[in-house]
Amino acid sequence: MLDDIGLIPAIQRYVERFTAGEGLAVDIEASGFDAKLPPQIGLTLYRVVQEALTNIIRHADARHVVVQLAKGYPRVILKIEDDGKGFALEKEPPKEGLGILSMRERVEQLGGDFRIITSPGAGTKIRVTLPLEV
Amino acid sequence: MPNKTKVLLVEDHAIVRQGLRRLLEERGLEVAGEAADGRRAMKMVGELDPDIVIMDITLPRLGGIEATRRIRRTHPDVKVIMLTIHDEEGFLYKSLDAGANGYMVKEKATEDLLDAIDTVLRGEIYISPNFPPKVLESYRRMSQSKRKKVDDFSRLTNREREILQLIAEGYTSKEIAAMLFISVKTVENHRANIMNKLDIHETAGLVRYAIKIGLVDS
Repeated sequence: MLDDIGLIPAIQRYVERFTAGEGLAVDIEASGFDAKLPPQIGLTLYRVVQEALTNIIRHADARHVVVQLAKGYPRVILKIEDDGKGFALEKEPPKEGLGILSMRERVEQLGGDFRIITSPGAGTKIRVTLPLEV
Repeated sequence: MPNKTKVLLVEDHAIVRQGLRRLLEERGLEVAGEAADGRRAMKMVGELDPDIVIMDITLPRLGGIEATRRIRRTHPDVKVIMLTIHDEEGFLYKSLDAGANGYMVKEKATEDLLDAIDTVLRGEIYISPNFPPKVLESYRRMSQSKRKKVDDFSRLTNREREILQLIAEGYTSKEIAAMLFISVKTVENHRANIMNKLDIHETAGLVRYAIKIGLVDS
């Protein structure tokens, strides 16, 4: 699907379906996606968005999410920020931990950087940067 | 008798300009001047104070959309009608973002140009019948800031994106030059082009923009 319609429309479509009826407002902002991304990079970003939204819906109790993508050079940057309850990173429950681990692993496999900033009551922010040329 | 409506034609093809001039003069309008590129157009707007500018999109030196943006900012009372072969919505939206009052696709110009001029002189937006009737409505519904962000950043080359990020991270032109193995002059040229394309004219604004689109962290 990513190949057919491109990353941003794919993410939009996913978000629309996945968050329907969840009472969650998701803003997607994309800048600079004039040309196609290398397929693994698009797929990794897509998976991170999926995983992050799954976590947000299951655990975060958030009302508002901002998904921001910027195709800079030489890196593409993805930010996902929610206004939910956040969590204490050092004692994250195993279920969430697994999702985060798998996101991190995917990103690092492509030479990228995965960061998560959160604390109880302060929402969660994920920032991913991926080099466009691996 | 009220003054004739004064028109400035901006179009790089002399033959098209001649045709338009004839068409407009036959209908009793005054063609006060002609320009073949965007820079010249900006200058002539200042000199001639036209009521209307008919503006091609694809122009040498300074493109029609950017010229429109500047004209509408410095001379908000001057109306601009885009006259172009492009019938894609992207160009229409960019033109409206730039402040164009009308958008006319060339193939319809002979029949509809006068109608377009009347419409924008009344203070309304004119859009070529090539587009579906609800196009203006959906344009207005879309949040302008979102669309603008997408479009403007896409206009930057990879090198410009790279340099914008470094600027936003606080590096000086000299430092950027050293990092990228290019001359300071080249960095300065890139910086000028970035500012032009984003229509942001100070470094602090570039930094804010880069933060806003998520290119760098606040």
